[in-house]
Amino acid sequence: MISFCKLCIMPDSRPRIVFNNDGICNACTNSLDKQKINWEDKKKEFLKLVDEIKDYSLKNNLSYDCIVPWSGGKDSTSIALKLKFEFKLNPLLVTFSPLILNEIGDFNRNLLSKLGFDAIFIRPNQKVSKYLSKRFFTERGNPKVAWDAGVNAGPVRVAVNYKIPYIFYAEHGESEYGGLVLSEESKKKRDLREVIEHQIGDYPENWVNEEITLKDLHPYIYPSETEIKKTNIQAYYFSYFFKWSMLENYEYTIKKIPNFKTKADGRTKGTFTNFDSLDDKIDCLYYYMQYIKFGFGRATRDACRMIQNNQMTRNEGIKLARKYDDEFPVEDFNEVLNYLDISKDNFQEIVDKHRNNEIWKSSINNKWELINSI
Amino acid sequence: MIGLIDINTGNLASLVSALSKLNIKFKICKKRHDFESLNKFILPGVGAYDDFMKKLINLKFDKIIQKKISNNCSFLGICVGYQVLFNGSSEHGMHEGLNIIKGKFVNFIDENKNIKIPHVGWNECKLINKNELFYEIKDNSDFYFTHSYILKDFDKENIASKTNYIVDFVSAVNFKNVYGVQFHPEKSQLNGLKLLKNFNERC
Amino acid sequence: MLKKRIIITLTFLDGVLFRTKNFKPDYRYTKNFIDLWSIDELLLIDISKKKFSKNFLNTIKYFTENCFVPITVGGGIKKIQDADLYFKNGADKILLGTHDLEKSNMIEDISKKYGSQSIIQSIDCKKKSKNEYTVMTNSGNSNLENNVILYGKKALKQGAGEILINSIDNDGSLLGYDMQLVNLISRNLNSPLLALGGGGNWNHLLELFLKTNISAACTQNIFHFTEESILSAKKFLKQNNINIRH
Repeated sequence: MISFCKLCIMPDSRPRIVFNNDGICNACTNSLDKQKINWEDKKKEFLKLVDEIKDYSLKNNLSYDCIVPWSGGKDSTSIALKLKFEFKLNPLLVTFSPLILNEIGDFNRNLLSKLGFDAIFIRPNQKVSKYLSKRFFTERGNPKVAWDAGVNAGPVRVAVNYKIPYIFYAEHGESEYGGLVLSEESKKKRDLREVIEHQIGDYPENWVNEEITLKDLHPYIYPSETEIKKTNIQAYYFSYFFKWSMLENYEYTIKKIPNFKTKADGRTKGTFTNFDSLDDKIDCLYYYMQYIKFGFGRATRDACRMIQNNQMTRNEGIKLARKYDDEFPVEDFNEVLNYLDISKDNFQEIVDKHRNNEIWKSSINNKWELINSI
Repeated sequence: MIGLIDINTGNLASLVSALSKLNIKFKICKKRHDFESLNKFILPGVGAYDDFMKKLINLKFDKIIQKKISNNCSFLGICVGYQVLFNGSSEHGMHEGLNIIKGKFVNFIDENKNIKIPHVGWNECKLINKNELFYEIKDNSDFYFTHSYILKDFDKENIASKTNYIVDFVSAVNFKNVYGVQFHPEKSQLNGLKLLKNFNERC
Repeated sequence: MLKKRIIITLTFLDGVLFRTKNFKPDYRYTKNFIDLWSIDELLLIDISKKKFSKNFLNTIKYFTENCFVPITVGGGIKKIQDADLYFKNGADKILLGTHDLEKSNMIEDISKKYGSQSIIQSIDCKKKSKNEYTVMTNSGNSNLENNVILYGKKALKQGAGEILINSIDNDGSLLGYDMQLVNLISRNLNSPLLALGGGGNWNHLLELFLKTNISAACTQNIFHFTEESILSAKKFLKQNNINIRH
């Protein structure tokens, strides 16, 4: 039996999410806690950190003050803009290439580049990337497992290589969206355990087989503990210092960069928003698989965030989830199939294999139905 | 049709699954008259020797088995079902077996007190005397063992395979139409399934 | 030579396969991707509140019918009738949770009927201080006693065949097995030993087999259950001279 959060609409099938005795998810309680936080104090703490960073750069003769893992999307862009123009730091942006690049991502990244940001774009070889995407789409219902490993490892690898200790991540997913928070400290500084255990769930080194060598896996393997200690890597979450809201990030970005592109035809498939997670053509499939595996889709995900930020009521969220959650990822579907090197029939077979019978039941006309829907 | 002797100890389910997977027809023998028209049998067994023999005797299966074997029926004993084919075992004190093949069972520790028992896991069977049970099974193939007692005072010509666990011990026997394996073929995946298939088709 | 084993450990909550962290279920998966041909042995644990449900018994049946390696089943066994039920439904061995050995004759009863080799006794351990561990019962919620080795010895004396060293702290973490705990127990108990809790990458498995005399490494990481993963792990171990099947 799946139950839904009483405040937002997230189901308890979301991996690692914790519901309290009142049936409220930890993302909502975190959101309520956010109201109680003294953000002024946090800002003071941040300013101290900024000074510390500047001192360090000066002492060590560094060209860049910090690393910002950057997709080109509204969240990481808003952080980059704030760090440079409000706090006068010089960030080095590091992007781990999307699996299937699209125009919007390229365009938006270019806009920021024109504003004066140096950026490193890591593009791992597509032979290995495609192979791993196919493997994990099949085995885990997630074509972005390796990408997750890469997007985590890449910026840290660059930090280690450039000897830059400071990294600014966007938000702490486990507390913002529901999950397992390992400690209070892990909301402020990135805990490596969360990367391995929650995000990837596995070690990339385990993926060595007849086709893939350890060298092939280099872009996906996290730098060693020794390297991290030597560089004294400190990865902070922006959401610890500043109240996090994806809508506000979007509005901030649009203000500073009026030409920032969003989804042309009004909204992304599977949801009602048009400004979130737009830079990879495979993302629609990624979120659709979330729907298949756990029973909630992109619309639920976006609605929950907006409900938590008082930008939408629960009822409004429910309507939108019911309307858009189950949308099939038709956008760029053939290109995605091509990338994964699977046929349409094979695709359907794999998708259905990931349906859990606690969440899905097969109804008349062989159609699938959610057992518990919001 | 193979008779699967069921004395209500341990689980027959694995063997049933294995035989089903191989499409081998079988009949579960729970009572004496179940044995009647059959001439090929498997006696699976887990648990203690004395307990197992007691159950066989109570059900009067001991006599039937001895008769069927002397009438040239093919027989495969698995684990304790193999051990009872012999003269006896020292498990929980001396207990007599079915006395079909010469030999008795002692604990691994009686051979070498440093051996960790039970012997549990995958181990290799080295073929000693060629026989139909191991037809097309590679030498030194792995099978799954779980036992603490091993055969002693046996006739060398009866050994089908031997295995090493600190000491060498007999892992399979073949005496005329009788076969016995210390390991569990129904739990030994492809090798085990092949062995059961061989028993059905060639023994 | 007896080979080292890798035992796939599956925990089920109301019939659904779940990963756990510190014994709490946190990530659901589907069992459609578990490869049953490359594994050495299977361990099924029911972590539901209501044990012996039809759901779980059907799950055991599913594996019995499709898997031809030994299956150990555990979850809520408190008396021999519970064990009977699991054996009847296809278990080859049963796993007993940490329980008060003074107050229960369960091990003796079960070993008399099914033999010692049918019993794996789990010792659920929690780190108390730098070098000390305590035995926990009730799914890791209550302290049972303070001497893990003594507990193990008592269980073996009562008739348990194998001992499972279960680290609560490392459960669900991918940071490796608790080597200190495993070493402590493997140096002091003379029975086949299994270790569970923390297996993340193949080096963890290697470390376990190289540095201790453990018989089997149990992994509960759901991403280790596909044929690809298992073969990758075995190849790695074989390349490092560990005697493993395949």
